Amino acid sequence: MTTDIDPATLNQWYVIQSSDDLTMSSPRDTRLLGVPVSAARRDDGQITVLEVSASGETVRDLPVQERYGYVWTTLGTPEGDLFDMPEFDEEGRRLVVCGIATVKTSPGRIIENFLDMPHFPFIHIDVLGAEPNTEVLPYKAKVDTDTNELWATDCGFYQPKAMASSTEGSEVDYRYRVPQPYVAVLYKTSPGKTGAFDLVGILPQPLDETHCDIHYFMLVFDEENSDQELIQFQQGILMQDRLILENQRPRKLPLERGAEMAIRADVASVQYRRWIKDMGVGFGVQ
Amino acid sequence: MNSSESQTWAPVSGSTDLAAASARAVWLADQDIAIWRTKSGVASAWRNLCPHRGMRLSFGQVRGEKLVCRYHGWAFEASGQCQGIPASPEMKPPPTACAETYACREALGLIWLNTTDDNADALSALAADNEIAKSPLFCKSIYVEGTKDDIVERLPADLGASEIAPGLISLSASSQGENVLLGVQVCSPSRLGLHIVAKSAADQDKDNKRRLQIGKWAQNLRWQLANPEAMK
Repeated sequence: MTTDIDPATLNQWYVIQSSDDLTMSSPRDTRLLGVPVSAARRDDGQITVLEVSASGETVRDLPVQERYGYVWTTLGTPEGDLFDMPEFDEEGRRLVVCGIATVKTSPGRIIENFLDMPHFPFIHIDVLGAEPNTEVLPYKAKVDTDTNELWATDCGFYQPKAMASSTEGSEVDYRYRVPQPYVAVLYKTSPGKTGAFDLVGILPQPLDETHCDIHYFMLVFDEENSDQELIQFQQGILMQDRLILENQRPRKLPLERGAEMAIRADVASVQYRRWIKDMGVGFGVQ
Repeated sequence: MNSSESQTWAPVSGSTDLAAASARAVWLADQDIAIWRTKSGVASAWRNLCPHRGMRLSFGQVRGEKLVCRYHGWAFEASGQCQGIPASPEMKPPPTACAETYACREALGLIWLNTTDDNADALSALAADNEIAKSPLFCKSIYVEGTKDDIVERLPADLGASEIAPGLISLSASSQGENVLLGVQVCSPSRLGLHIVAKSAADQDKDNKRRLQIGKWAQNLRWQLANPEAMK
């Protein structure tokens, strides 16, 4: 049943599996926005995604796109194509699909935590931050009205071990891109290539309003670490975030003004809440 | 045996089960509550929610006399007021940066909290003329599934249970041959905590031994309360 889901949430593309993990022998039966869906790869390599009824019968074929190493689908009718990530065409980058983490919270809480720098020294201790370097310097967060994307820019933070390949602490430059309410990509100083940015992407698949399968990836200039080393680094970070995410109350993201207090360092969060509220997102929020 | 008075003070933990410089979560009537103790020993009970991003404060870390939220390191003093925001060290936290506090006091070897008022007299009157209150020895907390009425009903008749004050049950005959008090915590409509307090012998060795004995007896009692069919 999708009739009770707001159009802004419904008309988005969502990742439901990585391309590599959807093989002929391993279909994926899952849920999207509370609706049972079933993804399979046929013998000819084509992918089908079906909406399934509670009793397991096919309701309808759903649209499918295979891009950026992932299988995307939608329960609605998205305006236009999937957002563009030109970095995927850049020479020398390596895509590392990190897997799925199931987290008991709303997709909004997940995105907001991903955009949040001030928690680094308290949750990712001696990795993405360390006391006493806790101050968040002014940065910008605003919606690009041409593309209707949220960007947080000019972010910087001292990080003891910014990426798996980091050998020493460094001032790291960050940019965040939120191309649609439940997708976020981080651009951070690459230890592997001077002047370049590595990407970390987070793609929560909302199973329902307060449960998500988080798909996440890295797109990096890194010739030293194996995929496994990079995955372990990123999984370690996400497991630390999970402790927070599953213990925030309410689990749904509060959009009411004043429901939670904010300071200057929370400008990305404030803009994010305003943006999805204006968009009419009603799923996983309150 | 049900008391007609309503219970305003509720026990949520043995005093010795909350160490200095520690924090943990307790439940009272389905409310998620953080209890914590400063390094110098002051116990507090707060709504288990950071006003900033909703993190449960029971995950926080006690630093000296402050509770520091796990998520962003906001440091709250015992009054509930935030005194420091690490992301903005120069900023004076506004009055709205305040945890929601409940009245919290220690008596009878237990930590009590009150979400309606802070009437200290009502708490000290709870067991004013009870022998145990003069020198209480907290022994053990047990938790049982069931409503308060169910659980009280299941207390074996030979224990001589009587509710001497709202939320406080006296057992006149435990197997140890002495009176004990049960502080009743209604965690939720279907889950009960019983905090067991005996009389201290004012001798550490004797008290340690007694705590072990009563602890053992309490485990047996918990089994009986959880398995009423087996006891018929």
